[in-house]
Amino acid sequence: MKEPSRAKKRSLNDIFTAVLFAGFLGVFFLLCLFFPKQEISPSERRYLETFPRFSWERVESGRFFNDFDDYAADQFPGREGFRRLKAIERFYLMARAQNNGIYFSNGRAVKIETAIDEEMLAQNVALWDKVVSDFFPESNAYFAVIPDKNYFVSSLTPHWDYDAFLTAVKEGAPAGSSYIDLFPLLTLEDYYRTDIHWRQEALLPLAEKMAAAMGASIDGANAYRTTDVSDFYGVYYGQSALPLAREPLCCLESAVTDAAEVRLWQLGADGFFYTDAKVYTPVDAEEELSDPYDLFLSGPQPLIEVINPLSDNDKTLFVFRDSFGSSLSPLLLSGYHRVVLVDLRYLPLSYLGQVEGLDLTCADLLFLYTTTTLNTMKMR
Amino acid sequence: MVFSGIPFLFYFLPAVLLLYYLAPRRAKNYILLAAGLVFYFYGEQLLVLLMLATALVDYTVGRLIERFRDKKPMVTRFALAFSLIFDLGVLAYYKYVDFFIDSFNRLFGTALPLWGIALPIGISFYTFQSLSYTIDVYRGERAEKNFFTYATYLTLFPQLVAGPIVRYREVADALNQREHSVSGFAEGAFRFAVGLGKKVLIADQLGEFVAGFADLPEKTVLLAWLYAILFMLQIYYDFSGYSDMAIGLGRFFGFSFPENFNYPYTARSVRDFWRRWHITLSSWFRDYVYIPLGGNRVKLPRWIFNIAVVWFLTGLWHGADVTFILWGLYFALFLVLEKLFLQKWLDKAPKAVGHLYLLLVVLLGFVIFSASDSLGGLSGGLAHIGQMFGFGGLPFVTRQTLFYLRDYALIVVIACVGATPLVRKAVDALVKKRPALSWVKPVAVILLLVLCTAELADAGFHPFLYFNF
Repeated sequence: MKEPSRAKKRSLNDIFTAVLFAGFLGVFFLLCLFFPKQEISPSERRYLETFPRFSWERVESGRFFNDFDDYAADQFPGREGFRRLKAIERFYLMARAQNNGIYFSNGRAVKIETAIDEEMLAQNVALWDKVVSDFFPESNAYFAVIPDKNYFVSSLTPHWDYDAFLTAVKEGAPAGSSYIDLFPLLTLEDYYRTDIHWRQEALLPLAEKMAAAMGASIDGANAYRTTDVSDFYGVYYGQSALPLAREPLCCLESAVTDAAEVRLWQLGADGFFYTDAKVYTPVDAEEELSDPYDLFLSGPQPLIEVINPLSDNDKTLFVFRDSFGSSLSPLLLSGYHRVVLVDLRYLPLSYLGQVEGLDLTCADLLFLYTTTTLNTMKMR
Repeated sequence: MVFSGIPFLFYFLPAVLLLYYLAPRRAKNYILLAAGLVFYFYGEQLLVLLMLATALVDYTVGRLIERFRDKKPMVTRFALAFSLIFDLGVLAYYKYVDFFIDSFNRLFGTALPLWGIALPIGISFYTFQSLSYTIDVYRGERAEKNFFTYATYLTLFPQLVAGPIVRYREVADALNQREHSVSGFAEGAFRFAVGLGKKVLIADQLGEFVAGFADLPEKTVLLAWLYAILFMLQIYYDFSGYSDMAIGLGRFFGFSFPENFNYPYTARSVRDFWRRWHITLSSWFRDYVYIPLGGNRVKLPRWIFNIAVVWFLTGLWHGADVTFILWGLYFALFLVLEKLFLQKWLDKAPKAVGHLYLLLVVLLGFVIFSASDSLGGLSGGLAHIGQMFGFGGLPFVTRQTLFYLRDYALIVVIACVGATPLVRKAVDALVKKRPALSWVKPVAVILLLVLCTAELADAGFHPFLYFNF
């Protein structure tokens, strides 16, 4: 009697296995075909792939199918949930230390970066020399490198050789320029938990040191009031795909930042023009593709001119910078009449001389970049 | 299209299964043929015509040989020669021509330009399958009368691009008459899910370290060992995972493909290892090269020559690079040593010695194997082996090394245990003792599918390592 019973159980088991397998594939087959397509991924802050354009030429060359691979992965039903499940599987089931290159140290997300792109680094730093010789030969030039978060956990994680990195920067920097060492002034806590950037409210001591190095006198902590703007998820929240908590986004306001005039220069059909803005413009964190860090000087901008009407001098500071400069520069503003921020990722250097109405005379010139930008983003 | 990709899993496979099971029996082969052509066209576009040409040539040759087998032996010999020249010529052109030119340039100091021909996916596999068919027909097996049936065999997408190398005679009956059952489907589902898990949850994660190893700024002795171990595990889980998926897919459509792996890392000699690793390739070379050369029923020098030829070709089959040839000859060397004295010594030694010997030989072999892709060529591979034994002037360990050891510790443990029959035996014993636990099978299937889907939804392209062979 036992054998038929076992056979029956086996048969039920087989039916169950087959139904589960076919059901899983079948349900997702239908969902893939008919599930509403998404336009963006809020956690990754990017547009998702759309159905590839069809043509025989694209089919024959294989581009259609390559694009379809991307489309199918991007538009997979429940993708956000599956991404989260993958992160949990990696961190907890497989006990991995990282997911998508994101490592956690005391609850702080850190991107692990290990390979120095020597060519990219050399090209980017060499551009500084051209900035000085072509536009600012008489200015006092300074340069500073902002460590990425991995620097602070580099005793535990793979990392690039920071000594070699700084040596390459110093050797390539313009002759006569002065290096301002920021590394000892920063800690991991000075950065957001879930984002790549530093927190403005932690930067006053650093701003004071930089100003002192450049011979400028800036407002102290007493001049500022800390304003809570919103709670936000940083860029590593999306990359790690873990269910992390939001964190506060604050800014330091003062009489100087209140009174400042901000001009966002852009290239239009008839040449460069500017629009007025504020030092701090809160971004709706719920808005699609928004980066709340754009609070500071309106986020990614090629050329920003900030005028301080309360200044007691007529000095100008030009800052060639990446996004980190957007939150630091308001703290340097009290020491200058004018601070101009140039982002060579969005504004090729050759265009700088074509900006009619922008005075290029300046006393101080600062190159301020993170290790990540210097190593991975091409400046022109 | 790869098995471990969303387009295959959630578009192609469900659609093919639906059409296949809805189609009447006589139309099923046509569904499979169409599916195979679409599958290959997705990855290689018009090179699908090359595969069809191979099918047409070898089908025609098979028919000719059968027709003139007893009447005109010259015709059959000529037909077989034509098939060999065509198949090997296609393989040589697409896979080896640049290697030959490059080798010629190095030997004679010339600067002939390379042709830059892209390698069609799976060409080594389907060429060998088609070759085995014509040789088998020449040796007396029956030829397939229906071209579409033969083309279905050659383009059968479950094993088209990375094996197992299925010989025509192994599926000839099933191509014309096969049974479909729930138990067969369930068996296929389990096998496919296990293979998918091996590939996606283990091989791909190990592959992240292997792929990024060259860029790591700080190397250590321990890190060099970690690379070797992780690659050794990656290639096993990648390739055996693919084979499991192929066998599972075959079951969906009523086929029983031959096994390709049998816990190779539990072997205790190189000879034993190659009876467990890529079994269908080893047996192909045994039946179509080694035995025709005389096998082991010859004098020792001739046997050594036979072994050298077979393993030279095995290495060359894996890739058009000197590292692969040396990798093949490396195993030939150990096979000879085992035949001469090592096997006797190993038989007398404790079992653990045999295991350690085999693992070390295979580990170092795979360092050479991976050298052209990950270590900058043969010199890089040899330098890496030197570093593993402290000849590179590297520190033994650093904190970075400890990070990676921690990062991969559990997955390596899982992979090591999974490379032995322990889990299967334990589950079988448990189920035998407590039949209620047999539900672990469907639960495992769905769990693996969900976890693999999670990995794929957050990942890019994960080609199988053996697609390049």
